[in-house]
Amino acid sequence: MPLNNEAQLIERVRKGEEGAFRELVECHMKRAYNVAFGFLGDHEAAEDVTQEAFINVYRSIQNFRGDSELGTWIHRIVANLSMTKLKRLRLKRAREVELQKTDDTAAPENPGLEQKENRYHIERALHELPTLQRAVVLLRHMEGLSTKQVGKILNCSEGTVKTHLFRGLRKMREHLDFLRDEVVA
Amino acid sequence: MRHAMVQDNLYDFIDATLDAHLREEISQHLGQCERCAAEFEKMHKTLQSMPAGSWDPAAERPGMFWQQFAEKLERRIREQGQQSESSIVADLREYLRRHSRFAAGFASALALAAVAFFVWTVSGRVDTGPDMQSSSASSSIPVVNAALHARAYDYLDRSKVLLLGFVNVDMEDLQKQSREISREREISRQLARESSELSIALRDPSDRKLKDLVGDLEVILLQIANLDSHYDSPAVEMLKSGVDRKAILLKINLQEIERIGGGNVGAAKQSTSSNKETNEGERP
Repeated sequence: MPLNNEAQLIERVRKGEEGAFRELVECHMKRAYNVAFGFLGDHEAAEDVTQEAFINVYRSIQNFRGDSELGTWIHRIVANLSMTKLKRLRLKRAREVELQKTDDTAAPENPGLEQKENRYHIERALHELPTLQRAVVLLRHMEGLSTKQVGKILNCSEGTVKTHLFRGLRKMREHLDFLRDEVVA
Repeated sequence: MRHAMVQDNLYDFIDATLDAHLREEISQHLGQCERCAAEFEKMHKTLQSMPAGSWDPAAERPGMFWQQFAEKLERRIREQGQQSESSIVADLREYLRRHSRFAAGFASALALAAVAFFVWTVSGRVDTGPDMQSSSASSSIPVVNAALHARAYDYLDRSKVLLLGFVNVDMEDLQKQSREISREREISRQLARESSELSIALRDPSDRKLKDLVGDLEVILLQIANLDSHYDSPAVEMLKSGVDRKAILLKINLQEIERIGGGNVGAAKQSTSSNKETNEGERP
């Protein structure tokens, strides 16, 4: 959304104009959902966090100073909520169990499933990473944000983002090699 | 070139964000060093396998899910608002039931406020009729501000009930029965939390007085929240003198009068300024 329109939309929401908040939600909900899903790896949890994030947006829009873009601000809220939820519910373990189940039902021999299989491996490797490394890899390489935007969302410098990216990607490669060996064996 | 330096810049090298000179140096190093070349290959492969633009878990949810997403969200916001309102009302009802003396005090204060409002309305109609008309004609207050003010006045009402309990407490009774005040402390904590939220939200210059009052109240409420679990006479005395010194209850009454009177606050201020002076003259 062009910045000018975005500022107007924020102003309309602040004034309590009917339909404005819904417009804002519909504009950002899918990307926010993807980020939440990337962290949590679970559709129910991602829905819950995304809803919670927009409730926070609704309550805090009066205090949004516009230092960053609205999307970056929403991503930050989603990332923070996801990390808190992840810590609290220890969904990582549950996800591993779920992935194990999926693994049993998947048919790797079917070439049509190659892309799905690749995504499954990537997601599994991503969920093996420590939270910050997962966050930077997810936002930079799956959501396609710049390192600068990722730094703004996670409140750290671009240098820190790159360090976590490097370490995260290296670990992911090790996990991916391991997972592929597992499939071959 | 050192291996560590190459590895430090490997991500930027692949991301093509390095300056030409450094890029050339790393490129040459990768041609000569197997270890760094293997590292580069691994990193490059990993990035290639990332789904990037094609990764869209949101697309796995049916269209109906997204059509109803905002609707569901709005319903949740409404429900949460109603829940917090009903829990506040229940808290107050329970509080007043347990402290019927405070309820009587509160009722008297309300009656006094009603009388004051009646006197002010009558004088206001005589003196400032045109102002009243213009204020009602320009009543296009944004919905958000109206909601914020409603919330602030609701907060003031609840704070007043609590403070009246402390101001009217009989110190002799206190010494005889060491009564639990955990409920009051809990309500104070809730209200103090609201104070800080309101202080941030009240940014309009026209809300300066309301914001100052919320700030003063926050200090008093935190004092109550931090009292010992039983009535402690010296601490309560200190609290009462704080409420008195800052004329908190008077200021709350003034705000109530301003709320009821809308834009025509001048007359109210004039009629109450003499009360304020009297109150200040009574300071110890």
